[in-house]
Amino acid sequence: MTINSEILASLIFLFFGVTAIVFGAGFGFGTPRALGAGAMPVLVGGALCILGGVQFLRALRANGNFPAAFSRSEIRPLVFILSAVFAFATLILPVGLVPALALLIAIAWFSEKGGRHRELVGAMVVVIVVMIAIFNFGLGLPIRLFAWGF
Amino acid sequence: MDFLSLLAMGLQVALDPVNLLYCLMGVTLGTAIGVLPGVGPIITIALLLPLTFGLPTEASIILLAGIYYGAAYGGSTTSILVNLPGEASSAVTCIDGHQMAKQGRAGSALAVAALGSFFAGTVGTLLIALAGPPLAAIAMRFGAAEYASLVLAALLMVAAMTRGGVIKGIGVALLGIVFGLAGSDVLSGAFRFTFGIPELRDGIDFAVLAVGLFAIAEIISNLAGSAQSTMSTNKIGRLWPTRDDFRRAWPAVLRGTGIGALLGVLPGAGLAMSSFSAYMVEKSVSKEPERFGVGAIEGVAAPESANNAASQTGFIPTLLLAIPGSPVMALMLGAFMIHGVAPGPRMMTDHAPLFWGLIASMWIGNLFLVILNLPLIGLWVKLLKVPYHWLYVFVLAFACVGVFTMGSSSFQLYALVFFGVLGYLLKAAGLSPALFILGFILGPMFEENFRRALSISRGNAMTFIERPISLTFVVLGLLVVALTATAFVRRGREEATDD
Repeated sequence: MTINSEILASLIFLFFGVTAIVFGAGFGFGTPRALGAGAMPVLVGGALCILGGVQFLRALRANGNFPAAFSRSEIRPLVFILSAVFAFATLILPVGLVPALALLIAIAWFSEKGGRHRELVGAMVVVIVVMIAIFNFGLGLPIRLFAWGF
Repeated sequence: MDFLSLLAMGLQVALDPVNLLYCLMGVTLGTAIGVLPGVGPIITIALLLPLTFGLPTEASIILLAGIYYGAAYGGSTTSILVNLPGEASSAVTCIDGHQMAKQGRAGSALAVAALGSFFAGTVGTLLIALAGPPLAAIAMRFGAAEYASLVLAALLMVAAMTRGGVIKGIGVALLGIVFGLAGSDVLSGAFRFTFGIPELRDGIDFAVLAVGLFAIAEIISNLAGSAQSTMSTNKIGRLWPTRDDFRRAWPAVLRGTGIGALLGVLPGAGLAMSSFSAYMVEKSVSKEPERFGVGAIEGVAAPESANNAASQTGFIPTLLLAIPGSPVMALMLGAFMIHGVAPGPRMMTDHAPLFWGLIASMWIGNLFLVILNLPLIGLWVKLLKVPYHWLYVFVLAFACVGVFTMGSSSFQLYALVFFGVLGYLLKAAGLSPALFILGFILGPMFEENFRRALSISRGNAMTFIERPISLTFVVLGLLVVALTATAFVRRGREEATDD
């Protein structure tokens, strides 16, 4: 069975609903006069579970009438864009802004199919220069450009 | 202080050179992103949120507001010239605006759109100034029970208006509330959903959440469906409307302004619905409805005035009640909170220079927009030639550096990846990320007032329906949900919602 968007919505509701109840219960519900920190999570989580259940039944009854939630064309940009951000996150402190940005742009560039590899270097230079201009000079934020020196 | 001296104080703040510069930057940027398809005010405001940390409060709010109403302006340009709405709120302008362009009357359509928007913006700004004091006086009398019911009603109304049905709408708002609960509990100080991570003790960072849900997830879905359309630009023609155009346009501008101003205040209606409604009204009151769709100037004047009026009056509930009626307003509210300013009935007195300065700046900004849009129109159209692969690497780089500068740690960036995935999942499930944000902002407000109201009434839940104002809100919210569930407004809604 392919997961369609209606089923996916119900699963998201159920997952976070259950999570909210399980953890929320531990924070203490309190009394109606003095609701505890756990009251809201449990109430909202409960409502989410109910809505998720209703949504799930509705989706099952009308099975097959909805488009699939995920499409193949999304895999490439999803993987490349998220890896680009992840790489930037890992590198920014150890190596500094310029190399981290260069890698971010290089990875993100490949989330679209097709060539234009020559443009990549141009994009790197332009984006890095603009970022330094805005953040370092424009806003005066002290970001290290390279891990060594500066 | 009387009304005039308050406005004078506002003008003083708005005319401060620094603030004037940020206002100009805001409306310029707003026009640019309004023109560009694929980048809207939500993404832009989300991206700039981390930056505003370093700016003075007045300057950053004036900047962000400028982007918001500037985008409503810029969207019309591409609708008319290339039949491509830069924003959802300008989609309806395509119908007659582009027909006019094809007939060589683009200049006329653009001028009417700009002048109508300026008029509507001025009226909208004036309405905020006039409605402010009396509304604040009423809201001052709200207790915790009234506030809790008001938040509930606003959430229900927005959820009901969202594409995809009431269940998914309410569900995704609740999901936002769950994420809003993370961090330390306001009343007891207990840490909730922090999973032992110290960075989460102050709650999930609003700017990171917004950038992840909107910018990152939006880039991914834009790239997946990258059907690049080729655009042909029509000649603009003479830039001044004919006498006949003027005669037909001005009543449409008046009606559009009225409709927009009214719908802008209502939660959930949004800019797109107001321009759509204005167009429908115009068509139905016209003596020659057959002219619509083949280049009627009224079909440009009314919706463009309406969305601009709505973009201004949308500030009324946000500023005075702290209840944002649309996702962009939720972001604006977030921006206020980042700066430690709590919007609400006391804002007009506690932060008078900010409140009146913002209002005055919006009027000045609207003036800037007319100047920016009419003579420089050719420049904006050139922006359409920027290829998307340059645009998205820039947005991505900006997002990452901006988020990093907030805490100078990698944690926020990993959180950005998490919210990018979440935003992608929400989109795949057909759930509105905008409603998620609204729930995230309003959730803590609801919880605090709900618990406080219950402790005041000694645990008696009847307090929410025994107090007349509170009861009104509860009934209103439930009524809208019931009406939507019976498909009463479904038809109009599918064609006209901001997402």
